[in-house]
Amino acid sequence: MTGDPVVRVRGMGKAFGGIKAVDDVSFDVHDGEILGVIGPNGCGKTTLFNCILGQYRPDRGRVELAGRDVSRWPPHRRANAGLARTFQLLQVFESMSVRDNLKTAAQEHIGSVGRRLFRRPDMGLGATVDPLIERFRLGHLADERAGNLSYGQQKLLDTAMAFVSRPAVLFLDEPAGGVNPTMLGDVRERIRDLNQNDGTTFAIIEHNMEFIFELAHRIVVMEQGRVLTTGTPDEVRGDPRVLQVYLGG
Amino acid sequence: MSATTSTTGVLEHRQDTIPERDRGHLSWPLAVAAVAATTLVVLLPLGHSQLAGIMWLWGVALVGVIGLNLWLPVESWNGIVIKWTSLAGAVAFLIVFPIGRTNATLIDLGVFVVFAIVCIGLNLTYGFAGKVSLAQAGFLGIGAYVSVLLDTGRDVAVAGFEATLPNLPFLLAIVVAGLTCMAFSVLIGFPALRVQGPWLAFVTLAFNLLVFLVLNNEVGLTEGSRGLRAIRSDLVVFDIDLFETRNYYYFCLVFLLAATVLVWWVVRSPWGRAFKALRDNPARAASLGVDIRTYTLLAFSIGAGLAGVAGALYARLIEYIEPRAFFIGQSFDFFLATVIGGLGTLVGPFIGVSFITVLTDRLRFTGDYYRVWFGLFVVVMMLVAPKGVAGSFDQLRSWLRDRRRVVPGAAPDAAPEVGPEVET
Repeated sequence: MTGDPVVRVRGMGKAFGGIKAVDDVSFDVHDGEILGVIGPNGCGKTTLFNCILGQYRPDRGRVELAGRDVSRWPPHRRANAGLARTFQLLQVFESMSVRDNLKTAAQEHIGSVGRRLFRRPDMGLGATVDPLIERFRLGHLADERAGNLSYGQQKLLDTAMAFVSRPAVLFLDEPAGGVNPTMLGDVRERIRDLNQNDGTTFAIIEHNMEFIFELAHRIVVMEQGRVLTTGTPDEVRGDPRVLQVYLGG
Repeated sequence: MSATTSTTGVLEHRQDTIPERDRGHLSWPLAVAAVAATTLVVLLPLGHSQLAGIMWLWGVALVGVIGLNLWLPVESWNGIVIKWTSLAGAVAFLIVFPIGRTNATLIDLGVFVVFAIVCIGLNLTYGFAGKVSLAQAGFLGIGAYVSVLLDTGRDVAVAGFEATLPNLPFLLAIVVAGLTCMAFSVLIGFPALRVQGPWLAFVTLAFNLLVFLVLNNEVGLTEGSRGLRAIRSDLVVFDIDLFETRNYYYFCLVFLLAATVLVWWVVRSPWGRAFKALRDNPARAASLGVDIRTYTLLAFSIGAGLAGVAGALYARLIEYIEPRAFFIGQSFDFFLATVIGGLGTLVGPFIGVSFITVLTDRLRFTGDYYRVWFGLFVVVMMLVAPKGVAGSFDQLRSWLRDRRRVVPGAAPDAAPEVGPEVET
């Protein structure tokens, strides 16, 4: 069910002062898969995402999207090329309505800046945005100010914003973080839905092991800025090194 | 934060991001009271005041906003109706009020119009795109000097070079003034890509100071503190004699309307959403494909361009320009007017500029202490109405609306069970 590598990361390295947050990390994200990225706190997962998506400038290493080297592109250009993400702390545009949040997330992928000034205000995005709002069960809040939504609702909106442009790969930083345990299944089903029905490729950082082991096709385990091992959930679960990292045994 | 160890590892349950609660509608009664009280205080010594008309406009607007809210059915469009009614009211006032007034009144109101153009631009830069600028008086000055130097055929000497400047048509000089300011704004736009908030304020303030120093010291070009005369006697545009103060006032008003329409268009276009995204959360905007650099420079250059056009109009309105008129204090006035009026609203700059125009007039007796009183007033305003006058009107409106209908699931505490799935 998974295809060729769509994103290749090669030799990625980033240091803060003397601390090597990410140290020579290489891995692929295959088309159509859900890739889990796990590891203890401070092992460099989020730094790795920031390097891949352009928030940080890595000290060394390369990111390729569908064969193109995007390592020196600014974040917005990578986003428009198909690398979307969410952040660990949820990030929506609080002063805008739910619908405008999604339009903002979708509009920059269409046409040039200059032409957008003369497009109709909604740019014909209603047909894209409204079904998505329904799908994320925010229909009754479509015109509400995003800052007024509950935490869980904002989290849904956050994911919808990253998804609305139908990215090649969607990077999620702790989608289950801060989510009520009884609702975890719901988040999982939504990710699975987007993966199976829309063919969206995911790379997901997650601390909740049960959550990610049930969801992911492959898992990358990181420790102290390096890739410890990569494999299917079953392989990783049975790996004594992984248990040692987590339980400190 | 609590951590539970499971068989496969660590299950973490985070609750470290609790969104800040909106202060809601708490402050609007205070704000309305403050506006009403100020109106009274300023109106009391009616005396000579031609500007009292502006105060009456406020009163009418306040009554109008409340009245319209009570009268209109509760629909999503009533906010739009009120927005356009208030804007149309302001414009109608600016068209009708000057009829039969003296030239002095026309010039007072003309200054109001010109400053409103500046604040409409600043409202786009700061109110919508969130980039603070304390350089608007500098741009006003650049626009004023560029236009006067280019359409009077002056002899100048800069750094040993002597030249005779061209004598461009007035309309062309206005355009060149605007474009010059846009070019300069890119200079301070680039720092804005690196610094935010107070630091950006310092950078823009330094730029304004630089402009002042150049205007004051390059005597060969600008005549320094002696200033430049720029009488309108030779101005004829489309067969309209602009020497006539009344004609020139309406000429300026056309530019104000054009600026309002321009900003309205920009804000409702996809650009408007990109600017707001830039203001609310630049990092998130970039991760969604918003080109931060382009939009930041655009926000600055539109604001600066409008200030430049305003400068060209201002020079011919006053018929005399000197560097002191474009000192940093004036930039603070523009900034505070925009904030008082209500950031990110279309009618806000009109309200804010009416404040500074009237207050400048009414506080003239305090002499050098003018800005002390003005500052005090702004502090009180910000305490009672942190969203500005127009923002308080919006709060008043939603308060009235919410009293008349129950909004399903609008506020988290209003209907928590409506929210689907993930609740923390």
